[in-house]
Amino acid sequence: MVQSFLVALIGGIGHIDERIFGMTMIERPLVICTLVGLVYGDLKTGLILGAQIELLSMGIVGIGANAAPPDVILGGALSTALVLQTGTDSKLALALVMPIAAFSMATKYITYVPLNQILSQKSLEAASRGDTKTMERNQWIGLFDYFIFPFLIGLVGMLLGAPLFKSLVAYIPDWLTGGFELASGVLPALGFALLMQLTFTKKFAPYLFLGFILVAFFKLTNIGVAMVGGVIAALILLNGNDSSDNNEGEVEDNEI
Amino acid sequence: MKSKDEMFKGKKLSRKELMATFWRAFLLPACYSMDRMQAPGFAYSMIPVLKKLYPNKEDLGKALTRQSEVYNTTYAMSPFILGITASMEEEASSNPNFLVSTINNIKVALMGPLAGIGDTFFWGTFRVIAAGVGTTLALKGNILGPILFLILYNIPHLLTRYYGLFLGYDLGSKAIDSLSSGGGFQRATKAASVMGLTVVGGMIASMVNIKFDFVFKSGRTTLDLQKIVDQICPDILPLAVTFFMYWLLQKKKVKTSWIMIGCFVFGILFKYLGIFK
Repeated sequence: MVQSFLVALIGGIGHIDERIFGMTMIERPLVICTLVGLVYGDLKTGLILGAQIELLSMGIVGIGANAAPPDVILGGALSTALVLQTGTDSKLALALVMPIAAFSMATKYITYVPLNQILSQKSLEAASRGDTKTMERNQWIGLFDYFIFPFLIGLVGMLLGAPLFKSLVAYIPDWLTGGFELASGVLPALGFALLMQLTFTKKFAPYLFLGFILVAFFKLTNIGVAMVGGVIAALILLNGNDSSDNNEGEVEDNEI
Repeated sequence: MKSKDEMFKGKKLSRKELMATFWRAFLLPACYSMDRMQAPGFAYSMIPVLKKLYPNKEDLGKALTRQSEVYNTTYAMSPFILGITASMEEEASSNPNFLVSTINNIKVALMGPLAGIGDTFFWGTFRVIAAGVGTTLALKGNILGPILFLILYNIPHLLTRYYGLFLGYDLGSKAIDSLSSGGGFQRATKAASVMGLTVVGGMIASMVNIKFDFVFKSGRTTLDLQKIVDQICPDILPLAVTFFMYWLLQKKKVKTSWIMIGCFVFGILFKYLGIFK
């Protein structure tokens, strides 16, 4: 009960990361799942699941075409919690993330989205009167909406979901978990593919292959690759004053 | 940027109002509107500045209303626009000839490009690099993973917010000119994309995990397909799978959830048949 409460609290706080902390990324699965791991006293599983869910949701961000991304905050928190609470194979968590995330995303349109729409209209009216008090109050009520609904959904999900999940797990055969293992290895590819939709263009393709080759053939670490990328970025910045750079039709380059 | 004292010389506004705006900007999307997006938060962030500039309630109402018009950009870039807006409102409050519609025009002109730059830097570069380092450590069960992830991301994040605000205020209405001339911002965006994509390329090789589980046996010779592949191009399967998914998303417009379900279905199938592991 206390643990369920804490998991829901983590979910609620994750949801207001972008609403009050200006998006510090504590809402990402890497952090959320680690905290859930702490709640259940299994930091290691929390860390590993956090990293795996982080990778598969790499491209799920609330910008551009992904205006309504699945809620990986509650998805990550609840799936990790259910697995840790029932002591089942942690690979099952990866299969649970998206169904929970999709469900939670759907609930937002009947909870805080319409409520805050009404609030924002009230703020607009208040603005024309120069009524800063009401505007300030509405801003904080809006924030509270973003916290309380994910928290409640998380809490109900934990209280109802755990017993249900436990009885389900008893029937899962071994070949299924083996398949999940393979899927969990491949899912980060989806994360990167989603991310590439935002950043990948033909013009920049060589850099992606450069990074790939550095790791595949030269076994460089991610930190090493980031440093190589940094050096190339510095070269681009420093050589920017060359006259050749100005003839490239820079306007098109910005379409990324 | 000028020194801090110099910046506010002979100005109505002071560091105090701008710092109040700095803190309020963290709540930018707290009361998100479906049609005006982050506008309520923008107006909320401008309250300390506008209150100082317009003691008269009627003028304050007008200023707040124009700051409540549609607004949306990457969160971390907002303090920069808030700074510019503050300096323009300051001009508007003392100069009756200043065309107030300029303020919203400049806001609208800035929020698109800055969202593009901001998303490239924060989502496509800083977050990817931070996650690359963080997940590598976390997969080994190292608690430093999430901690480094947060530190690496938030140093540029908070610096951009803080310096963006004062830089924006300093640039004021001159901002547009100085941004578009010289192409400095475009070059920076390009550099950030390059860095982000290089890291993504590396992560495809290190984080995506799929291998052939196919061994031919004829007589005494055994042929391990993965070993042959490794000699030609290691990790070619992860690269191929990633591009296949990118193709599905980009060209075939397949929904993310279907690909995800597909991963599990084919995962179970290929494991059962012993083709991949």
